Amino acid sequence: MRRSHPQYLLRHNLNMADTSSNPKLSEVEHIKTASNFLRGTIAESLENPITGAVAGDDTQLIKFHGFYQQTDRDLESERKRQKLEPLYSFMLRVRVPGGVVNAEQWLRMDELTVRYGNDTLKLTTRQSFQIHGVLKRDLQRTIQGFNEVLLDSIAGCGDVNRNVMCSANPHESGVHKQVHEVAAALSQHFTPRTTAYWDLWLNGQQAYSSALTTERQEEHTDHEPIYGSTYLPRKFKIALAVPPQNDTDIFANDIGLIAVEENGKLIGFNVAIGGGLGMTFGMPETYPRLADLIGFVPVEDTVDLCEKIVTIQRDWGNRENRKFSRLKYTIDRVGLDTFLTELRQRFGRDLTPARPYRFETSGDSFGWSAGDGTGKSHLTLFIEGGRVHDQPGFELKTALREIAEFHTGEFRLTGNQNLVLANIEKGHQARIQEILENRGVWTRTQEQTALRLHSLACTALNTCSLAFAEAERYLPHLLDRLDKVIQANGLSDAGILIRMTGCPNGCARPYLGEIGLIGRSPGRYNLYLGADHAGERMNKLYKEMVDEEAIIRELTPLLEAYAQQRQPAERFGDFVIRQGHVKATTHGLNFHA
Amino acid sequence: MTSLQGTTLPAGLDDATLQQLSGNLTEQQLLWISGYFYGRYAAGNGTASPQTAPASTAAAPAPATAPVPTITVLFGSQTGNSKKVAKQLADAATGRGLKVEVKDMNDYATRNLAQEKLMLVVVSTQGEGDPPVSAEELHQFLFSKRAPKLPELRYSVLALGDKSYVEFCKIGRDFDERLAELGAQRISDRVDCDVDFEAAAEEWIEAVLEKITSEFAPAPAASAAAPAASAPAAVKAEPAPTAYSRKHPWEARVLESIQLNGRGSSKETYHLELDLVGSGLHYEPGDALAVVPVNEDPLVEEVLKAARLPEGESVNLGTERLPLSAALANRRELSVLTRDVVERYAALAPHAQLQELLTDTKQLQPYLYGRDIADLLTDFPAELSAQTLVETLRPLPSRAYSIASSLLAHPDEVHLTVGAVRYEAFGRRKQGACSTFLADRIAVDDVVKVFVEHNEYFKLPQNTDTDIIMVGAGTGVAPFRAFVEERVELGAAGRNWLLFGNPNFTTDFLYQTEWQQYLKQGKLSNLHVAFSRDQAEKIYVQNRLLENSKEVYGWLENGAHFYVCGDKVRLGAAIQTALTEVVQREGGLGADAAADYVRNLKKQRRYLEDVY
Repeated sequence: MRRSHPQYLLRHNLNMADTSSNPKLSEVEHIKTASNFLRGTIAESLENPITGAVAGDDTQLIKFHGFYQQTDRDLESERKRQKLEPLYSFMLRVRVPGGVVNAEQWLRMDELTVRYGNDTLKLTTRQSFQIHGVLKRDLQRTIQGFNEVLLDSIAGCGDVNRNVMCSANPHESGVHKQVHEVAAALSQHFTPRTTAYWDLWLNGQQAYSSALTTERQEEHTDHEPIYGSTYLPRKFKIALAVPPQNDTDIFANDIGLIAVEENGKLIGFNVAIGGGLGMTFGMPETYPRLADLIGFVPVEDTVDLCEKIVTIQRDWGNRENRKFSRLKYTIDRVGLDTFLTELRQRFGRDLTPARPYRFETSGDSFGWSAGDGTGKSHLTLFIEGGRVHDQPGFELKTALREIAEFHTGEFRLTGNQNLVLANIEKGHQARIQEILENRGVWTRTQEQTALRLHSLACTALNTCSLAFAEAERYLPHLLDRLDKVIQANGLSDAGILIRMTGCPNGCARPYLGEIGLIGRSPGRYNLYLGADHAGERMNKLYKEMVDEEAIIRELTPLLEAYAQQRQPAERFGDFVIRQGHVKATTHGLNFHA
Repeated sequence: MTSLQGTTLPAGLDDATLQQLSGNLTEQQLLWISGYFYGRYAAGNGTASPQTAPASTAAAPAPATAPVPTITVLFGSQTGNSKKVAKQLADAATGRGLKVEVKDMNDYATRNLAQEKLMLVVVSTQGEGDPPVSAEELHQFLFSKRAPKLPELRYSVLALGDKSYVEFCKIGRDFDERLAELGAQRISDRVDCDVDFEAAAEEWIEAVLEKITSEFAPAPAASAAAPAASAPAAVKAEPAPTAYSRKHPWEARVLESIQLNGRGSSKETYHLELDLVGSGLHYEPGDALAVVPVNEDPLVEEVLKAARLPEGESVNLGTERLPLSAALANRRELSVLTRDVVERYAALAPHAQLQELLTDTKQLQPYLYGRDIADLLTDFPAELSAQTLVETLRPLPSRAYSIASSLLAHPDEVHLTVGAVRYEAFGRRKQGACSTFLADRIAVDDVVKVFVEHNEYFKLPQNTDTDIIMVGAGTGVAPFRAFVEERVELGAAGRNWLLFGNPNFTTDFLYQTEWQQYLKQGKLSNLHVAFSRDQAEKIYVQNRLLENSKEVYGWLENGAHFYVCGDKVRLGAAIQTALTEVVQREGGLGADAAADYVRNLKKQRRYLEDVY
């Protein structure tokens, strides 16, 4: 019974429209309330030619439209001296539900990065695209550019449901297509209904885009049936996986859905709730947490169940302190049982027990693979740091553009920042192979140590304002050194998940790395060890504030020991626990223990 | 003037002279002058208090004969140099007991021209042969059909100019030749002065006054000590001149040198902060700072190579003896080729083509453009001694930069905004001598030789309540930084509006954070920017002016002063055209009336330009 909840929970309900009377609410809540369905003063900000930035409050609201305001932190002090404001630009995150785009969409994204971005395309850890370095004056043109190919950025960021993830490897399961359909349905269902997105970016025209449904075209006034006018207390993430692949790291999400099939047909999902990886250094009351498995839901009820979970979080989530706003804290605060009781009440029925499932890996498997018997094949390419760009002798971006000119299948973005060229026609295979070799891509994307192929890095410096240290720009260099240790110990084929982020907010899911490196300050990282290989156990702090030499010094003997003493098929993360180097983390609440 | 009939006149003073002296005067002026002369007489003799009320002594007899007619000194000035010389002339004339009236061409009533007897003209030439704004009207009048015959007039002209321009001293020449055409007679020949005009001006002053005093009877000694007479509307007191000059520059330490353009810019602009502590040097917003450059070594080497001379050879410059390379680096203009140099050089290097160039201005101008001394020496080789070479070249002039700071905001500092000039021409890399000297060859703590060049007219309104509109492109924003700083320090109530243009927003928004701050604090009321290359179609400040025509016109009607600083050719003309269109549109005026409106703004010194 909901009324039995502590009073403080009830304060955070949907109908708290008059936020001005509640001074305890966080600043962002006030901004949302006053924003008139995410408009704020964005229109005025866009027209202000004196600054490349948007107004302070608008920096919060633009996230809901899919982008962050950033500055080039490398140039910060230099420009200050030059009496120039910071070099403001925007990172646009384009939603790709389940990570599937066609060749036309790929080409358009490529073109937009040339015209308005920094000529690189970032594939994210949530299967979306990021265009970096877009100037304020080019925002509308950029958004219109991908809207024309039915891509959108609404809800790319912000306190709403973000890009819905789905296992990307189509060859692994016959039910993949059905799972992707559920992912797309969830994405659509949780897309904000405000027309602010069209008003601001698409000249008010409700031209068709993937963010627009027929239903919404008929609406004349803004109304958010799921979110309400103040949206969610914090970001919300949903991911779907098809075992044995956990390439979407479903336990790191607010809602994780594990596909359950019977006789080659999708029958429903095991549901896990309350995952989330962000934390704050120096605040042990913040912690990364994996989702709790709560039961099974049939396919047809999945969207409805998810909506009920979202609405509980909407009503119960903490809106006073954003550090404790995620669903994971809501659940741990009220207790999982209380939460499930409420869910049962809102859902109107019981969940049946979770079905057996088994995940083997959260990584990708690379190279060519056969398709489903139609003669088509798939090719998974390793994209270091998820960054699609051209360098002398390594023309990845050009190669993919050339392939997109004739490829009839899809481009699938994986949750590990990699790329699957899916459903390649038989006649195209040799040509694709040739392009990748000629452009210097093949060796860089395929012939690497398994350690590097299992690496993830967030963007960090120089554009992310949260970063304390390097990640994407630095990890390749660190891997050069670690590769030597790996090769010297015959571990070139040992897939070890290594993940680096520039801050503890968790974008590259470092807490699920068998080796996790989280930036503390420039050049210094906390080293975490002991996650499993399938995204079902988080790691634990092993050494604090280590620099490059110390990282090599700490990891070398462990890798040597692993090479010599591992049991058959034993993963590195399991090995360090068995050897007692770290204790296993069994729940978010004992992550710091 | 009838009451003088029958009065006993002092010796030497007859009716005709009296008539001549007073013919054009109104009654009020007569009354004033009578008192004035009495006062002067009293001061000279020490017999009466100068405070004596003029009206009560109106009938007092004129004390002395006036054999020399009053000299009208007419100046047409843009930056104040002509005015300065005119003032100097007036002092010298007064010292010789001559009577002078100093008049600004801007305020001169052309109908008085026919009555003038003795007139000394000091006028400058702007850029490619234009009159200063203040001289435009008189210049036009003289060349019109309405110009009267001037058989009675005796005159002389001092022309100020810059030899680096082909139309050197054209306006002075125009005045000189036209007055002769109208029947006037020269007292002495016109003198054309280059940028370092002081010595030549002094010579002219001495020569012309000598001529006048020797031709006319000397004035009585009594008036020698009297101050110069001046028309009521004429010259106000000038700020005490700085002791620093080209010959005696202040050696300013560089406190700061910052490249203002962000990475990837097509521009290269420097912000320099120079130390004035101990100099006593004073400037006002709108003034310029002259910098004495040093030529870059590669150019000196090019010139030596082209002249086929060894660097070690010594040359004489005045009483000094120094190595040729030092003379070329520090004392001679090398990077700009001018007509005068070509003329002198042609006399030594008999090339037919060179002669041809000199006789045809249409050919000469394009030849000079983009070429330097090394080009000339290479194109037309000649055997020159080191000594002849330095004598053929012109002295290295200082370069003036609009000051970008207010002394009130930065006591004991002067800031400059300098655009580095670099280009490729005729097969060689070329550089602006002074801009790259400041950009490349001096660093923080180095010393730069500087002095202030006052700009008489490009000044903030006296009344701090008056609004100002500032239009600056590129480094043209410099004086407006000084203006706004000054007005902020003064707590001026008048509104400030800046329109700024440059190629790209992210890299070329000069002083962006300062403007943002002023805007936030309300100290800048309006800020409009035009970044020409940020979009497919080019957008310039003049477009912003037109887009905001209603407000611009409103401000002008409210008495705002309008300032333009930047490139003369590209900005100056475009802004005038745009402003005329603004007036036409918002004032509902015809094209001619709008042009008159704008011309009138200029005449009232409410439309001021610092263009280069």
